Amino acid sequence: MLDLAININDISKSFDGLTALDHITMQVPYGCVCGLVGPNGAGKSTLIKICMDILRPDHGEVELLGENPRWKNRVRERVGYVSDIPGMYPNFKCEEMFQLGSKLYPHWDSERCRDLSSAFEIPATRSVHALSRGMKVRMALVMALAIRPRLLLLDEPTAGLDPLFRREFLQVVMDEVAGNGTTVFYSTHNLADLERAADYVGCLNNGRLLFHHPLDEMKGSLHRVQMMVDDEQVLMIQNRLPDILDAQRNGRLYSITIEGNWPEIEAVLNNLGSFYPEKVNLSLEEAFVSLMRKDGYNFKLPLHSERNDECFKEVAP
Amino acid sequence: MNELAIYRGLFWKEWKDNGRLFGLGFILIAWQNLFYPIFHWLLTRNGTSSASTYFREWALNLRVIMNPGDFGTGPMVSMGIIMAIAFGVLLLSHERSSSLEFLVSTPVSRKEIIVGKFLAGASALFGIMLIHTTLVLAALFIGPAVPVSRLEVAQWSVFITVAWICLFSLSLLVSTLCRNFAVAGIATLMFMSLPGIAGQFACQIATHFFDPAGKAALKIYNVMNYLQPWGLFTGQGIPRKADSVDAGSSFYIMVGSGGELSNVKPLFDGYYPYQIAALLIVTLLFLSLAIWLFNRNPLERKGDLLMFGNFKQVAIIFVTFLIAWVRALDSASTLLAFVGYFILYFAAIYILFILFTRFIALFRIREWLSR
Repeated sequence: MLDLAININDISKSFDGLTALDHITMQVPYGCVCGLVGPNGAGKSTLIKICMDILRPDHGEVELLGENPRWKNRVRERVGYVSDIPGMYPNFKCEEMFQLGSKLYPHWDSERCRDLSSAFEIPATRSVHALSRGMKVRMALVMALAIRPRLLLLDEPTAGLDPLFRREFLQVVMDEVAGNGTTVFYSTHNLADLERAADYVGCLNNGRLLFHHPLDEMKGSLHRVQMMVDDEQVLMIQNRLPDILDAQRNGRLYSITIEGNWPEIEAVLNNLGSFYPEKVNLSLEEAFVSLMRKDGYNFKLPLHSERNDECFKEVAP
Repeated sequence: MNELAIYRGLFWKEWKDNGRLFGLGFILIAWQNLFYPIFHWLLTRNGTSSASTYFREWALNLRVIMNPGDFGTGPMVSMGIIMAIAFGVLLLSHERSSSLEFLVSTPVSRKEIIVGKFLAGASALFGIMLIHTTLVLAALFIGPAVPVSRLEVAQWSVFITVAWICLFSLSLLVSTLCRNFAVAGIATLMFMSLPGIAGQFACQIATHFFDPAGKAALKIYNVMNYLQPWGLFTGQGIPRKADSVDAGSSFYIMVGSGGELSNVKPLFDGYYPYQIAALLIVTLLFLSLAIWLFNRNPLERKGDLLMFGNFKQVAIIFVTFLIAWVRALDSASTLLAFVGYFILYFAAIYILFILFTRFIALFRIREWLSR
């Protein structure tokens, strides 16, 4: 059995009767990067906050580095946390925040903190309330890394920030993973970043965990195929391949996203006739959208003009 | 990291974050006793008053400065009460508004957060009184003889400090249940009035059913009144030897009016140290309860367990209780009948209230549907 950095066991949480998390179970092994994706309100932040014992679950329990943070709060000595809007002491200067970190964390590395804050150009004598959101995120990351973490929990830290900073942020986190074997649990909407960095990916929707797999395994099980077909053949394909997640049709060009074993799918398609199926690359974003649609997520803009309705018309699979 | 190091870090953090509040507290509490005389002396030192004559005036007025006031206790003590409540309320609500999530994500337990806040607030109150007492004692040493002994000043200081810290722990406890500082402040004042309200109810029962002359009611009222902050500090509720000074007793709290010293007997007459011990036990009780509630109350509710989550329900029960109480007291002639009437009235009025709120809700739904 793999050693687990995070062991989430049957977690449920509701807010005033509204279910935010519904019996979530997932494990993250040591030393890997696990991305958590899902639409807004899916429960990603709630799950990460429960991991940090900021929120308490209604049911189930979480172990970080083999300990339940609720009963062993000292386990957080080795867990760095960066949230989307880092809460800090507004009256403190940046250097005072670092001083506080050094007083609360036993493994605080002052030299590393100095190096990182100089690399991130954090103004030591400026008050926290005068910092921009991006600068606060940088500060939170410096603090999270200065504790010499074995686990980093990042809750959409780069949401709404510029691409340069996002790249810089990701690079620092990846260096940490490569250099120190730190485990990273990372919630984000940016699937391109995740595709570059993640070993595992989990997807939440409406408080339910849709999947949680190694990224390669997940991408290996989803395929995008394009072929030339007529109406009759579309029906045949739909009857023989029930695992189609998403389908688009543009004239005779029929494009499907399908889940399953590729040789078997290819064999079925070849048996149905000469469609000249061509497998094309499927990005993580496309895979994510297809899986979300399969789960019933189907956001549509409230359109009023007929012309616009026509533009957004979809071909049902 | 050991617990002591964590507490040291939290203590440092609280002082860094709330140092200005504590400083303001010191200025407001010690204003009349320390700063005003100093400013006055500075302003008049080149005039007709010499330093020694000024000291004499100040020393003679010391008891006036420290004790009497329109509310039964002196401005310094009154300001101390206000600041003790403000410290308890602001320390937690300020944290809730900005940085509690950060603090909870560090390797600090919720117990340590509350204890850290308690230590910071209590040390501030203790420090304020220590500076004040040291300066007053120094003034008494070098100043002229006044009818206040150094022992009395020291005892008074200890008692007032412990009582302030007790109130501070109460407001910290109430703050664990409330969302923001305004609600926490109001709720603390309500909690502080509870002994007085309970006393009033008990007095009504005693006078109505057992002792129409009101002697028993007066005793109950005195004790309950003493348990309220003003009564606690002034000994208002306790029978006193009016306008007399018992010079032989060192166990009196310095109160009075017009500069007179009254021998106001504390709850346990002659056992002043026990009174301090009782206050310390109550403080520990409040602190333990605050830790337990802060640990239990989900953080996402921002402490609205009592004040927001069930506010309507609490308000309905409170109003129902008052109406049922008055109606039952008017109707009953014996205690047993009173209990019966009270239960009946309470149930009936409560059901009426619930039906009324349901009717209002239904009306709103219809209005919404008709849009």
